[in-house]
Amino acid sequence: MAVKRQLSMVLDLNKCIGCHTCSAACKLMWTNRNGREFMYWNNVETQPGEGYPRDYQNMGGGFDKEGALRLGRQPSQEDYGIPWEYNYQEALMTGTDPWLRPHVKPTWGANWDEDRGEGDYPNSYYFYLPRLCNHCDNPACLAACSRNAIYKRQEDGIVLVDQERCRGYRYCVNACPYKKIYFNEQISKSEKCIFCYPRIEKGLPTACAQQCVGRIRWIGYRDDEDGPIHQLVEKHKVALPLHAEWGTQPNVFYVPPLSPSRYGAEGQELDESRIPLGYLESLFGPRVGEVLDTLQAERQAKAEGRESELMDTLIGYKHAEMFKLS
Amino acid sequence: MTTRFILHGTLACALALTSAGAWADHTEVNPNITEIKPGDSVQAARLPDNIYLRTEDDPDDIIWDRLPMYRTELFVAPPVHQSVKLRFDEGASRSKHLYFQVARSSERFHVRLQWKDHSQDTATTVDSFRDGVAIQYAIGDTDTSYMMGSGPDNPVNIWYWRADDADRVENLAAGGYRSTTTLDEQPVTGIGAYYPDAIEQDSMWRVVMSRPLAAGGEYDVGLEREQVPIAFAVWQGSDNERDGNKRVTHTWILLDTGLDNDTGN
Repeated sequence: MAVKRQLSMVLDLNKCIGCHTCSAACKLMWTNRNGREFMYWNNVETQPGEGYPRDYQNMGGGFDKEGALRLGRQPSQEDYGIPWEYNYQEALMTGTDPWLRPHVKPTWGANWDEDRGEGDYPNSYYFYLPRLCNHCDNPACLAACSRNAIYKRQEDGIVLVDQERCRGYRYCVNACPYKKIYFNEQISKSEKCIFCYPRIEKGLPTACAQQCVGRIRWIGYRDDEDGPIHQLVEKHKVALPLHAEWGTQPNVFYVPPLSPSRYGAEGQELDESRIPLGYLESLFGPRVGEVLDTLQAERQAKAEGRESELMDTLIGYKHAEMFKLS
Repeated sequence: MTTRFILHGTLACALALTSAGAWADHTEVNPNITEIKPGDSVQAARLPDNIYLRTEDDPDDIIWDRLPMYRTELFVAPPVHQSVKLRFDEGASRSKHLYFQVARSSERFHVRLQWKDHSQDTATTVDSFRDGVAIQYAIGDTDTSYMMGSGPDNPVNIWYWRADDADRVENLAAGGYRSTTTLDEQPVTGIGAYYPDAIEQDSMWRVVMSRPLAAGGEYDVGLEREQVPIAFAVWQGSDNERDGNKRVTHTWILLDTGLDNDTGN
């Protein structure tokens, strides 16, 4: 879909510490009320893992090779997790309940499998994958809407749901392979990440990016050659979309994670990375190996006191350089 | 009028006998109900002015027992959007009978709709879809497409009742696919109720919708004319039906309002 300009985000998975400050910032700003309690417009999931909603990577949706919409499975409320509240008032203030407990028995929730990962000691591994709406060039949600209720803004490519047009049919929920559009039972309409457009319009970065303590997020326009997105995606080519094979052409990109080497049976270091390359390729495509080599080389250069424009960018010294919103 | 009833009744019986297997629920053949095919006309019954309805939209009002009942068959709507096509479910391809009655007083127009539904789906949640029913009226003539109208110049007016908000009817307009719009004025009222039966399959929804005869807005159907093209749609929540995923009347049924011959009684 041709838009005049496209806002975009790059996330460096090497720097994500899984603190969930982004999710908390997003939730406080947009989703802790009015039927959105179960939604995480931004979530951080552990990979390998089931993700949020549970098993979304196997739910289908997106487009097939011919560009036709693919049928997806609708996530259930259980797949998202049923939000629970604690009786803080009764247990901690009035003392009328001796136990601090949730009001429903928690059985699943976003990041339920946070510390599971994959592999056996000493070769166990996992990494954090923060996810938000990809504000795709070819949004499956938009293609699936039978009412033209979803649109992509010309000025910045942000994908939004027109709440006046939406009648809650949920074809979009089904079609988005990332499952980043949610049905709000209270208003019978679908809602999603709005890329904090009221902040963007004031020249401020999204809440998730502003609050990120690991400084893993860059925001800018794809066509801004002096901006961080162009540098990371186009110039150094180290940022890759998640599951490009789903055909939606995402505008959120990830710098894939490096990992230490695997250990052999005798405790010796092997010449392969702890996180299997094949696994990373299943998420970020065939260029992962090449990107990891570049990162390794540039890291080495910086360690040896040489110049590295790429590393200077990835370190993220100043917020002003990480967010380029004009 | 009587002749027409007999004629249609006979036709319906004959057809039911010859092609019983193709009917939605052929065991329901009832000589007191007139089978209506698309293209047929039905007469709106006249409620005498000395009859007072305690509640305008009571789905169980005794008056309905005294008014002629029609039955028409609703078939799956052809999918006109790829989302609908993808979700075209085998189970939903069976047709369904809708029973309807139409009546008017000197001020108001009433429709009662009934259909069998083994499950009462009254919630719109992440995991479920609601039951619903709608009446569609051509604002113009029968050259309007019965499938949501033909463009902005040939629109339809739709009264939509949904089981998750059973005491309200949405007044909508559309001029072609994708264009359904909620109107500013909401003059249509209605109430729906579910009547469970010991035999699950015989459980029934009954919905009454009504509106003052005088049309308010540009997209409110004019009922003060001799003939109004109408069509129906039913959504089964348990089949995940919503949007164009529904069962509909294929082509218009013509409603004789009787206004040309109204003596006031």
